[in-house]
Amino acid sequence: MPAALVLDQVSRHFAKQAYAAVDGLSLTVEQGEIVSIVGESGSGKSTMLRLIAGLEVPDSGEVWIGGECVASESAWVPVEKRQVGMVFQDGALFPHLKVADNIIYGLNRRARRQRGEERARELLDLVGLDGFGDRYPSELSGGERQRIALARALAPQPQLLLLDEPFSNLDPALRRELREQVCSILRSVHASALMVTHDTEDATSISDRIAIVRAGKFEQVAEPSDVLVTPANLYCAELFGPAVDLNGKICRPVELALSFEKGKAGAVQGVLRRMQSVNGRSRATVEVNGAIWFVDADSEMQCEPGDTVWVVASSEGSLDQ
Amino acid sequence: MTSPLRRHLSPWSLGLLVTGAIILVPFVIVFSGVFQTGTKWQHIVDTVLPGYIWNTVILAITVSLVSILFAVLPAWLVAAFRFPGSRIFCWALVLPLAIPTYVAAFVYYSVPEMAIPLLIKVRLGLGVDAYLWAEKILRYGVLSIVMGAVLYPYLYLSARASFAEQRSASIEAARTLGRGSTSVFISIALPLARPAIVAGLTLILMEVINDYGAVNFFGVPTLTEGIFRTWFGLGDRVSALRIAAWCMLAVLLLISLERWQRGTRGYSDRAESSSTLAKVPLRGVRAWLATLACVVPLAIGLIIPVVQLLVWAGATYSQVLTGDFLAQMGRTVSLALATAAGVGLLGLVMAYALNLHPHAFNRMLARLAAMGYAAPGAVIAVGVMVGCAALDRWSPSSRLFLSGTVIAIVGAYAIRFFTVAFEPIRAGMTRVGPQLADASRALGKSPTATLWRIELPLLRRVLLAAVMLVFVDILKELPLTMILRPANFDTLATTAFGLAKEGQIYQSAVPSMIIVVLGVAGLLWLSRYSSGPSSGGDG
Repeated sequence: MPAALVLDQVSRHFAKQAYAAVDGLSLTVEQGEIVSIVGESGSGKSTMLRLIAGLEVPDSGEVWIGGECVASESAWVPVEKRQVGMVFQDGALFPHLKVADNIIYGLNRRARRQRGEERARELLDLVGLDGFGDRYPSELSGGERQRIALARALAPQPQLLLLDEPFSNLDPALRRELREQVCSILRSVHASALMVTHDTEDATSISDRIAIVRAGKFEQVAEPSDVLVTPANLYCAELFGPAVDLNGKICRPVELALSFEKGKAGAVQGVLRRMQSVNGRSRATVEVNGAIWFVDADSEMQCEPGDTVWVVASSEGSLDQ
Repeated sequence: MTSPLRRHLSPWSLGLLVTGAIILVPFVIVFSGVFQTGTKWQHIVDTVLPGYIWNTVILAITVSLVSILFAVLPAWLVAAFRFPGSRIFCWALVLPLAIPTYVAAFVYYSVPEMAIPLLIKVRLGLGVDAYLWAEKILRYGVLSIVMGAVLYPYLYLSARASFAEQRSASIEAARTLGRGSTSVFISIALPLARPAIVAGLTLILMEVINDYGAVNFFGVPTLTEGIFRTWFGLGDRVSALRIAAWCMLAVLLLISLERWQRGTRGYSDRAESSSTLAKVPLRGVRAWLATLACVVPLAIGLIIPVVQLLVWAGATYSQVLTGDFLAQMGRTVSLALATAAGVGLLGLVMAYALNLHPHAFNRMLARLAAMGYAAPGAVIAVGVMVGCAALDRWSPSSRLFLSGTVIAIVGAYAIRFFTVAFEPIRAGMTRVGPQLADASRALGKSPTATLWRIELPLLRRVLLAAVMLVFVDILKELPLTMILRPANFDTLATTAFGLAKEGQIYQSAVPSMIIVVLGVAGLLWLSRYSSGPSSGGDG
């Protein structure tokens, strides 16, 4: 089977912007695979999604969906012919249509008439909202809206599902719950999906692979555990939590220790700013060459803010926290 | 599959291009008039043209002064204070806008006549020259007050919005620094509101240049009146075109001056929020003086005209509302409604097309299309008429297909009022946002299906309001209709004007009253849809 999505050297440069929003990106999403694009706002991740959907035209490069070239120098398939499902940040449910009508909106007229009701019921069942068909979107909670948006995107059985920050407007607790639900729904229908998010927890918890994007380019594309354990660079590491570059090695706070003497080779001098308790450990905030480093310190260490300390690689710490 | 270049081309962008071009054609024709010399041009320059220009300038100045008096102080009062009736004045002061200048002119036609005994005394005491001057000053003065009294709301609206916005910040700060309210008004509120005041005045001046009915009725020939006299009186259409071109240049100059003075700061025309900040209550004499300042413009601009019209219409409606009149009105009202609906749909389609293809070029087209509403009606009419005549010459048949037909006038209305429909619809579309359309496209629906099934239902009420606004504008439009109307074609405006010109002022009150009622309805819709809560509608 052809890959669900192939991006080949895709670029998009907006006029009036210094650098390209999407700069020669290549990526493959296999059938049934869930890939997350992680990046800060302005990194070009949303533009990438819009290029794949066909809402934006690439300057160069090719986009292939399900083995068909949908954008290249010579080909262009408009968004409505690409068979991609899209889930937007706040759902983008049609406010004037009932939930059931929203869900079957993407079916063609014949399918709507012949088995629209049945399909709506199936999908409501899939997303766990049986009996919501007659409500209007304004009567739904944020989490319910996103689940209906997912049902609506899945109804026409798209080749590829695109999710644009689908959980970002939800409370943390609801967010975790919905993430799990969405993940199991996507797995149960073997959907191929590409999700854009700035939240690394979203990315690590539901995807097979994570692509970290910065200034229109990929910094690292790898499985979640690899991204966590062996970040390609400091930027990738810092996305997932505090990290520093200690003599060329990327270290998390747990991999660091404080010392009063220069002792070990490679120790870096800094000034202790404060000590606080994080998850039962003492975390030291140390100013090193004007930057702030976090170090998991020995709680028995007696020191005061303002003391000069050395940061060293700890012997016991390991990366998988 | 299309080539990359053609991705940007579609029936939609083509539609934008064609619509923009059609709206701009009359202006190209009019501007071509600058380079042509009609047979009687020299004669016109030597005799009447200086007078047209002089009258336009004088009237522009005097109407501005009256408007400032009627608009700025009340706007400040309702924005900053509480006094008897202040809540009602806040919105009622807008209503004189519903009275067209020519209707106000009919209502006050007898005021200069009432002064005849005084004029006779002047003549006997001071001689003929003094009498002529006094008569002229009286006529110009009354006309300025009458026009100012129904045009000031443009200024009132922008000034009030500006004052209301300031209150929270600088003004309250000044108050806490111990400045009295008069001092605050002069030292802070007025300078801050200057861009808004100039913007409001610009609209008023555009209306003064546009006016035909009132200046004609009071015998103050301005440039617009000059276009009529040159075309229909002298029969020199090339010279008429040239005057129209200068008229248009004057309007463009006004617009650029307004843009320039606004600079980069930009004044905000956000609607007044139902301010939670406490307004300062006025007591005693000061409160009643404030009420008076609001009552005067309202009385001259709305109450007196409406009462007068009601009295006259009550006396004559049985003569006027004949079967013939009603049949004629039925025809024009349905034509106006059909035109308005067409313009509304065009506005919807074009707003959507602009969303699909929001390139700089298309956005510029949309801005240029607004010229149709900025330009004086007579200027557009002249451009359309010349354009139609040229097309008719090319047609193989000897029959006139366009000139003097319903097609020409409907087209001219569309050109003039396109922006009236387009802008609120575009604002409504922006409120709905691009996401729903994107979602619909991603679900496999074509742009046409998306417009029909998503945008149209969500913009239903905005579209209806836009159609209503265009409809009212068509019914009260005078100069363009006078020039382009086919034989035996009368709108409410031309009927009222025709009756008044024949001396049947009382009878003219019947169509005038209908215009005013429709105008008030239009204003109420407008206030509901421009400042009301999002009308995108959920569910």
